[in-house]
Amino acid sequence: MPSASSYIAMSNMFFSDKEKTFENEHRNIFVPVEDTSEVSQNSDKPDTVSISSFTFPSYEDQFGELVIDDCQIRADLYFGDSWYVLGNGVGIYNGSAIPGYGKTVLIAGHNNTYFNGLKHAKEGQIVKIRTNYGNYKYEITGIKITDNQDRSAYDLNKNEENLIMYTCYPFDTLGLTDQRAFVYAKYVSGPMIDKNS
Amino acid sequence: MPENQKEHESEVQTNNEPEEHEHEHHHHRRKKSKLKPFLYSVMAFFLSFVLFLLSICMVLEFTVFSKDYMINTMDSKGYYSMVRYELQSCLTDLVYASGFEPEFAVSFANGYDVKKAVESYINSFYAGDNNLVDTTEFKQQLYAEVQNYAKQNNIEITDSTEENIIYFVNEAANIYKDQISIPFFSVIGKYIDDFYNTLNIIIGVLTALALGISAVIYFTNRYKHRRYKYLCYGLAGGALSSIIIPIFISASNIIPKINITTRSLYNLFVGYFTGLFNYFYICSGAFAILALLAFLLYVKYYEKYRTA
Repeated sequence: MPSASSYIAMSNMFFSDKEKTFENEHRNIFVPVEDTSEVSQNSDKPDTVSISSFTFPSYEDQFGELVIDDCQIRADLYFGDSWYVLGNGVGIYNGSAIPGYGKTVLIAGHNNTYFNGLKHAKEGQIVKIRTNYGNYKYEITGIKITDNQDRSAYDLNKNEENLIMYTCYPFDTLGLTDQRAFVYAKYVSGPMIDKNS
Repeated sequence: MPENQKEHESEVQTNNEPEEHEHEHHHHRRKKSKLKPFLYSVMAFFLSFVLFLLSICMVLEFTVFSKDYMINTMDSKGYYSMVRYELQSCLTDLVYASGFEPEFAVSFANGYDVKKAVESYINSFYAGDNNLVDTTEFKQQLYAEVQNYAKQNNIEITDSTEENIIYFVNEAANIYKDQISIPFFSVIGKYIDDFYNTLNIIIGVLTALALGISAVIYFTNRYKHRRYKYLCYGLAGGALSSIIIPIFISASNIIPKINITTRSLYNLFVGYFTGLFNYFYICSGAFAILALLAFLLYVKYYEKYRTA
């Protein structure tokens, strides 16, 4: 019945299907896969990975790592950007996409810990992201310092694979700030996710 | 049944009377014997309904309206230590974002202060205060700690750094307030305070009503076994109706499926409702014991009546 379904849907907001145990939090599903990015770059057809062939990360799951050699950044990559995630690595905002999804990947990290190295970010540097389903490379294209309320600093609806990393600005300062440093990068290589298979 | 037996006896006694009078008398007795049990059954039903309402009010009085119940549940569920852990984690995250060493967060989230703050919050809530969490002391303490930290690490505090520090302190105070508070409590608090006296009046009225109905059943029945029979009906009905809601909710296993993301609030919520249902079981058990007592008295007096 349509009238009952709305109430059932509403009750689902308050109750889940199973009992909460708090035992399966913070899974680490990151098992590195073979690097095929070089092969992919040289072939005409881009490499793909079926969405059903890997474990899709849940909130606060660690499913990869992010490395920028030029900035001395090496951080565990999580899905979500909770206090737990940002205390242990860097995290993808769960309203954005995971690498390979063909959309914007928005990654947050703290400026005094895992993303402190972003102060050395420059155009042309390579960002490597390794996940449990593929390895990706992005190239830094620009840096922008802006207010934390500036919504124009990112476009989550963009239908093109791209990476944005952001952190608080200025670096190495005491206290909280209103400013954010956004580092933009374009997609270079890595398997695209086939959502239909 | 005693009614049938009495009816039968009266029929035997009137066998020698004139036919017309016998018919009229018999008709009158039959009418009376049907109405009385019906009226007593209705009274027994009302008694069970009043007991059901009374059990709800009593449970509310001992749980939702009781500060001690809340504090005992928090104690038994390890709420304080979980809140401390969560507060510590959130503040550590903030500390990571603010240029301090991670250990800095440890100093301003100790177990004793957290317990004191939560208890003060609960006390304010049950006293009907609007300002449930006072963060003034926390802010002052944190600001002093930051100043000490800067001095120890030879960090110069410029105007802009000072601004950032105040921003940090305010954010930390907001986190502190969120962790100490219980969601929706400030909304419920007003009603708890307003409704407390009314609840006591309702309990008084319902108790008087239950005693009144019991007294009517007891004193208007000529035979003792009947008094206890209807009292037993009412009490047993009260016992059964009191456990319908908790049994239904417990059987559906809906409480442990509540979508609460923090462990402290989840454990508190589940523990709170488990305890609340236990009060319903206690109420129901008390009514059941009284019903059993009434039943035993009914059996005793019925045997006496039968053998008389």
